[in-house]
Amino acid sequence: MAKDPVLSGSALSLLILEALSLLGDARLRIARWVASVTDDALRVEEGSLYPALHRLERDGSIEAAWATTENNRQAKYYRLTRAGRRKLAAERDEWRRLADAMAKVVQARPERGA
Amino acid sequence: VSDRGEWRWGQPRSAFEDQERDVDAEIAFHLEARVEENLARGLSLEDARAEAEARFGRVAAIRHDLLGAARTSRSRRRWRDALLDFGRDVRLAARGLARRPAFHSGRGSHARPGDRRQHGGLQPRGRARAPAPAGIGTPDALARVWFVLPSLGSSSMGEGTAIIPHPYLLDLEHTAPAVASLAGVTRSTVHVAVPAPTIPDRGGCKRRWRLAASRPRSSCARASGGCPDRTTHSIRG
Repeated sequence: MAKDPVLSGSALSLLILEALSLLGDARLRIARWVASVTDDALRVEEGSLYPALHRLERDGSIEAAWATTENNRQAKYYRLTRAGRRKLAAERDEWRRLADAMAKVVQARPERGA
Repeated sequence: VSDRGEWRWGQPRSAFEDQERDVDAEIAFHLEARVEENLARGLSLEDARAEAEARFGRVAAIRHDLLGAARTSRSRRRWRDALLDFGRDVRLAARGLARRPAFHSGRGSHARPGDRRQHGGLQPRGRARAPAPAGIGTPDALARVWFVLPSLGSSSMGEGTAIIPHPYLLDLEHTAPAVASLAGVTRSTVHVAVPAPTIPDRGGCKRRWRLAASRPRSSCARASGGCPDRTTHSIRG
């Protein structure tokens, strides 16, 4: 049985930044969104989002604010900052390069005479 | 969110100042929202809670991680703020002292014979000269003060340099009370004492340097025979 791919810190950060840019504050939907866009290939434990969110908040990529919900509860909401958008763009490029490089590696065939 | 007008991005929170309450409230909000979703899907309350917790993961471990990170972050912020405050106080104190005519250079053509400031270089008027802290040198020396804040974990919390005349250093504690606690750190981490630089002799100005505010521009011009940069002597180490 294949194991679920494990998302590292940087992958999770990229995923959160991407989700925030596409869905707005999407904490409650990130896990499902990931499962949906990856055809269930990737699964995110919801709790693991929070350390990543706080890390991104500390480095200034996202900012948080408390607000009152419809049920009169206090909830913390997140959104991307300008620095976060720049980071997202840079990380996208980085991942594309990495993915291309890895694709070449796994598609490589033995050279003749090697 | 029912009322987006209540969003307060980047503003201090009073109700959720405490980090522990913040983390607990955040986790609770997530779990409760999931439970409500599950109830709406027709699950029993027990099943709804169990499913929400299963999807969230190890609540206690995550809470522990979040609190640890929050404490570290808060501590780092405190040091950074202290450093910024210190820098601001140094600038303010230096600016304030520069405007005060209480500091004079006893050297050069402005010094009158018999003036008690004549041999003292820069010193506060009417105050006994305090002994120079070790490493600073003579009172008319410029001290390069290198302050390094303690590091937390593997990261250095910051360092910087300030170049200030010795009387400024002595006066900092009186002028800027906020510095008092850091002044001790500063004095104990003085690494380099740089003697006063010789200012290029332009237009017959023989003074090594002096505070721009110590004399009016016109009197300097008259006395020195036209020092072109009498108000722009920079203080550099």
